[in-house]
Amino acid sequence: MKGHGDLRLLTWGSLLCAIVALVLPWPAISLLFVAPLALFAPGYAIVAAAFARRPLDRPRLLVLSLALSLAVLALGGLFLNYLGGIHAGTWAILLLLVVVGCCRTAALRRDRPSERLRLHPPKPGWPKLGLALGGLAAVAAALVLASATLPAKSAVGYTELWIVPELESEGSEALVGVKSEEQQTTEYDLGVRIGKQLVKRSFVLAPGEETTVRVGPPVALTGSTVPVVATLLLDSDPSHVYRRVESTLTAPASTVTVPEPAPAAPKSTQTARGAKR
Amino acid sequence: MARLIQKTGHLAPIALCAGLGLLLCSYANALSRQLLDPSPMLLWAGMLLIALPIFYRLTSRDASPGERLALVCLLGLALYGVKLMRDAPIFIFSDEPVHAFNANQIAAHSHLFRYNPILPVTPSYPGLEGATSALMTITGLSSYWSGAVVVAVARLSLMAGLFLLFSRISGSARTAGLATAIYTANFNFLYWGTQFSYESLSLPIFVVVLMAIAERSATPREWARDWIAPIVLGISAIVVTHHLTSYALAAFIAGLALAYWLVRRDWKWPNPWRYAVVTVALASAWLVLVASSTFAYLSPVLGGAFEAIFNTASGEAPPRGLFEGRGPSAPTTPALARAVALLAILMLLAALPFGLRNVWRRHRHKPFALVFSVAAIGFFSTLALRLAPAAWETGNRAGEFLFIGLAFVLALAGLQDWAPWKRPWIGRAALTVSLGIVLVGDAIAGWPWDLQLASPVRASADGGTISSPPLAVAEWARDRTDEDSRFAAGTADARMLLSPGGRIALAGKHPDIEDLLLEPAISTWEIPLLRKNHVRYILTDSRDVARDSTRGYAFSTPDEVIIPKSAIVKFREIPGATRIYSSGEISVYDLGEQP
Repeated sequence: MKGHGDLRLLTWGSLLCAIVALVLPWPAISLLFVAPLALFAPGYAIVAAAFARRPLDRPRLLVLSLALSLAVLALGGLFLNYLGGIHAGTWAILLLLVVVGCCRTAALRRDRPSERLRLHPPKPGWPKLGLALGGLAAVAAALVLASATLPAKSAVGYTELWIVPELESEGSEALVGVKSEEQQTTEYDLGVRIGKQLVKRSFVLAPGEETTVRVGPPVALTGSTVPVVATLLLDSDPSHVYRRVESTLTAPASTVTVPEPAPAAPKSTQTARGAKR
Repeated sequence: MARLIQKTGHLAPIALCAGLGLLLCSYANALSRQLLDPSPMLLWAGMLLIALPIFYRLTSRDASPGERLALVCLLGLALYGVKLMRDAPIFIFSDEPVHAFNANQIAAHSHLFRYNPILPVTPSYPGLEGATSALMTITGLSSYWSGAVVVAVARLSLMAGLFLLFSRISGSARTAGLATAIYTANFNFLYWGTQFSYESLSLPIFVVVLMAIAERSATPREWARDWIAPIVLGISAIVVTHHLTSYALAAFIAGLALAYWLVRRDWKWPNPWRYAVVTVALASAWLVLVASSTFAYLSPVLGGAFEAIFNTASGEAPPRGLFEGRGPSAPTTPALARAVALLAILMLLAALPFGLRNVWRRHRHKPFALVFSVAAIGFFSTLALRLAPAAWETGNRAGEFLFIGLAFVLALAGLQDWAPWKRPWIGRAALTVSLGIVLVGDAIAGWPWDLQLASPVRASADGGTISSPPLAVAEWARDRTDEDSRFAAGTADARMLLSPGGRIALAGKHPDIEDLLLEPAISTWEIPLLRKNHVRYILTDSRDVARDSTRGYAFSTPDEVIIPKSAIVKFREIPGATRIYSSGEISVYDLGEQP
């Protein structure tokens, strides 16, 4: 590709982008390198190969570069599906092969070395630059506002109550979870009945907070199933069952005592504010 | 000021206006997400702040072709930004979770063609999701952001491709800029056409293929072979991306070949009939070998459309009311908004004869112009389909393609050259205002009135973040159930279970989950149906809006319409079924390993 500055730049640039994008652990930064590799370079290389003898003008070159890159991505998945699977590495290799192969073809097909690659970056004056930056700042502000989580006071809040089998307990234990999607910090009373045994917990959850309680194994004959019913009351209205879920537990072989349920454990990074009493 | 404008050009101040317009749109959506019921006028004001300066500049004679190209690209991207401002960063347009599920499946399992329970045909057209998976796998970005980048680049290709296509055919950058700007006023440009769905990728490539065919025809014959690879690559990409677009492309190129024959009376170069054959061959091969489920998917839609047209025309069925949403909870559009939408369509219709006259005078020897003229007239015939209930969607989809021709014809109507009292700015201003009305009016006509602005799916509360019931149960399912768990759910909940839930969720009529969820008591057919489809969990939702794939994702409000309780609690009667999840409105019943 000697004498073809655009093709050399494209080839080495694509290689660099592929390596950096694969290595970088930050998706947003990685995108800055993937974008030219995936959304421009393959199309440019194909155009360069197809129009090697008669270069296109810049607008048509740019449009075809973008559109044909999208076409390569749309078809590339199909190739990878049958050749190695769709992974980061295979995508990078495929895109590099397209770029390098088409650049090599373009270099061979071109009648003469291309003119020296000349980029003409715009040189805006300060007022123009200021206006354009103002526009960009407005777009950034719009994006921040669009991504912001805002209060919605008239949205109806609620609480999730759920029960699922505890993994690796072979059905003898379960997790009971409570997650507050209420508009305000709420006090709860949770009751879990395992056969004839009743476990009670009281706690306070802020909006978005979650807590889980491990229950079981049940006291029963080995292998028998015991119903589990979890009821959730609001501390502000204890006469009314707010939520109710149920499941069954299987008594394990060595059941002799009833273990004390684990304290309310926060599931996620948002921690429960603690037991009320 | 004039000196400043002259020195800095017009692009920078127009870009500033576009940025501020986008900010205004974002502000309107932010108010809406807070359920403060802002006026959609705020959104329209933002859109017009984006579009009017661009429209006005495009009507001028002194802008360079490069500036016009930059302006139409800015317009396309800024209007795409309006959609992003509405619901970032969660897919909540009806088809988006379906395609996001496919993309997530490809990224997670490294292969295409995985099962999709809601739209089984979509995995057979993996172009968009395959492209998105490239960005997802290499960067680690979510399907939302990867998809948004792919669609944004596609939009850029669409706008620039349209500009170059119109520029080649009309021979005028001014006409091309105006035609491209007019195209942004089609019903689907603002919302439907920007969703993460296969047509959002295939339509831009469709336009670029047309552009390439036009360019090929304009080059000397000895260079024409250079265009083969780009055109065939584009056609192939469309075939694997979207069924209807590939058929539309075949029809368009066939029509173009016919128009060439009419003009030149021979089939020799530059008649593009060979590309029509290639398109038909590839689309047919894909349909038969890979995507045979397309027959089952499209035949009820198209068959229903024909039947509805016949029934409506013969008076056997009442016509569909205009501006009526499809969902059970769709409100009606206010009278003023209806008036703007109807005015927009009347303005398009009024300009059509002038455009057709000028096409005949200046471009009747150009095959592309002839096909565009037929498409322009055809667009108005698709409006009639909106009166037939089952044909509405067919007309809506066809309009997106036919509007390409209409935009070209209307740009030739000549209002920009009208200069009463020797004041040319009057004609330019009249065209700018007209385009503004058409942009807003068609956006109203193309998307339900109550969905123009965002509804909240997340909200901040007392220092924390809370999620809407469908989103919360989807996230619970993702975290607390097995990956291969199968759910039966209402239309909206099922989409959330697909993405972000990542679970297989059956919904709708095939299998008949819709009736299963609404019946007041367990019927004899329901348990066998659940067993046959290996359903482990049933998700019930007492909100009536949960059956609406466009509205059912947000927080409930105090005036929520609730379905009869018997439809919810009946699942307790299934032997072994237990309710393992409850959030008030939504419950999940576990049927056990063998329902």
